[in-house]
Amino acid sequence: MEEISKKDVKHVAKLAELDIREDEIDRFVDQLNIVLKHAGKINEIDTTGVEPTSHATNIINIFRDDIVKKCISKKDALLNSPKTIEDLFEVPLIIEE
Amino acid sequence: MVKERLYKLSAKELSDLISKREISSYETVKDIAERMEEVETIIKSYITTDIYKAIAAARKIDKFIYKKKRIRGGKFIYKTQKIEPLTGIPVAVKDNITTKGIHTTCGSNILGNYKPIYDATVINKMKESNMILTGKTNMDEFAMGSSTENSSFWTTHNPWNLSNVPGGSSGGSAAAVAVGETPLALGTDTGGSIRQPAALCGVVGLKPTYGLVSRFGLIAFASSLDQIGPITRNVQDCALLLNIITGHDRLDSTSVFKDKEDYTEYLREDISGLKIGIIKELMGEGISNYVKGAVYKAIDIFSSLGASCEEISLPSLKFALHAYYIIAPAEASSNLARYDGIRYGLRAKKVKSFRNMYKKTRSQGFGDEVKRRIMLGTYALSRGYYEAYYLQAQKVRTLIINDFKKVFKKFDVLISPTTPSVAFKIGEKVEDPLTMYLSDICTIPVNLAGIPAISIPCGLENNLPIGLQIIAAHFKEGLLIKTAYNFEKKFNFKLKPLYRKF
Repeated sequence: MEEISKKDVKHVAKLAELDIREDEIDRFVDQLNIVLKHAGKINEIDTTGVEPTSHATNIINIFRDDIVKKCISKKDALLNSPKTIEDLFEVPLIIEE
Repeated sequence: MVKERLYKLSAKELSDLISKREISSYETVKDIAERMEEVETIIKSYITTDIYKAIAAARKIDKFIYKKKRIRGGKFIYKTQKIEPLTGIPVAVKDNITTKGIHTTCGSNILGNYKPIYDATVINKMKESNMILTGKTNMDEFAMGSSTENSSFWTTHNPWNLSNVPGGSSGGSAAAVAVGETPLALGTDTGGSIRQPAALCGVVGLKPTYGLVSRFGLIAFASSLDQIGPITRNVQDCALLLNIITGHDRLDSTSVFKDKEDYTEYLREDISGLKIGIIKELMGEGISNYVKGAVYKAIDIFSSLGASCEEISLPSLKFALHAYYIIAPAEASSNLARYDGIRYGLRAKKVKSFRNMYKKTRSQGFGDEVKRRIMLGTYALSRGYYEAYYLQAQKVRTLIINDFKKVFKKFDVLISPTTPSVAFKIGEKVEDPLTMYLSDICTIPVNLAGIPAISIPCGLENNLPIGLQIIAAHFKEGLLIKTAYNFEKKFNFKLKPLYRKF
């Protein structure tokens, strides 16, 4: 596996909506490389013909009837929001100039 | 004679005394509160406590227990003849399990002010059983860690030695149980977060089969691995608490349909003829000699109880840790995308735009380990790397599941150490993520396979506890309880921090 670079870390941080300060980047590059080098060893094992498992018990497709039930109130839904206006969540400008 | 302090008693002992009406729930909670006052400033197990609420709840339960009715002849008898187990018994809950109206921080600044508007299913079940919540316990942020050092608030101290970690991520729960700040606690386990701190604090911790306990109301870390389970001072208490929290829940689509079992039934059985496999891959490199020594002594005990022990190899386990550190961060990076500063949690101040709000909020709200795992997961799922990392890890997971299936055809249970060493010093591994990850090497395979495992104390090194891990096939929690209980009776471990003055 190739090592990840400063540029990769910046790109990944952007995808994950994280702001990484310049002075933090080197540390993250080093730490992520150590962990990825270790994790990359899984490619040493032969998995030809092995099906991937996404989940350890074999439950699939749990269905239920679509019945309307009592749901949480508007007041409760807004209770934990850092910023609300009347009965809405308030956010900064979405479309940037 | 000086009356013994109630905090030292097990949940079973307290429960028996309460149902005989020799003590009240109020007296129990009050003594726990006094113990908290004695030790909490030093141990720091809890993030949130509300002792007044707990005392009020205890009084209400006492009213019900002591309610009388008039019978023929003008006599009075207690209205409720049979008191259900764990009625009026205190329980501490890890702070990633949602509690209505009570702060649930997940050990993170990003949820520092979060007060859930609903109770998790396990909380509902405990409330229905008349149990009393003592508070919410400290943990590594989003359960990512093995020491509680990643908590956004503070590090919990190991009651056996205050300069050592209690383990993690359920370190607050394990320390609180070990020191007598509660007889019972709930933890959560994604890669060992119940069993590892239980081992390091000298208590009992059980990770149930994936799907046995509802995850509704558990703040998600890695959804295909997370499970809630009990942390207690003995195996009997573990069985009692497990009885309460298990059962199908329509609010969790991964919850299994299965008849409820009474796990205390298994306490009556012996283990003669039990076939025990010793996992070779977890008794080799990286495991301290004194830990191996304690496991060999445990093997002697099992043999003396009539079980047969034999070494067995599960070759794929060599790759379990590697696969886990792809799968868990990948799932976490997706689960933690919901922290956007809009509907709940922290929102950064002075934000210029919508995107800027996301970035600033997440950067201020998450700690370093969480950021590392989010980036690791995002990388492993990104284009060009998905096949080499994530897909390959999921294939390795299949191999691990197959290895376990194969050995469970021959063995009833498997044993290994719970951790490679005893509790390490606070600060020793915090800057070195990989070394920290290695402390979960024995526990991780169990989560990947979705099977149950228990950790029980099996020795001491430098007056710090060593944990023995017992693993069984899917839904064989009963076998774990039976095996662990027989060992516990014979081994007779003394939990010293309970009697210690700090």
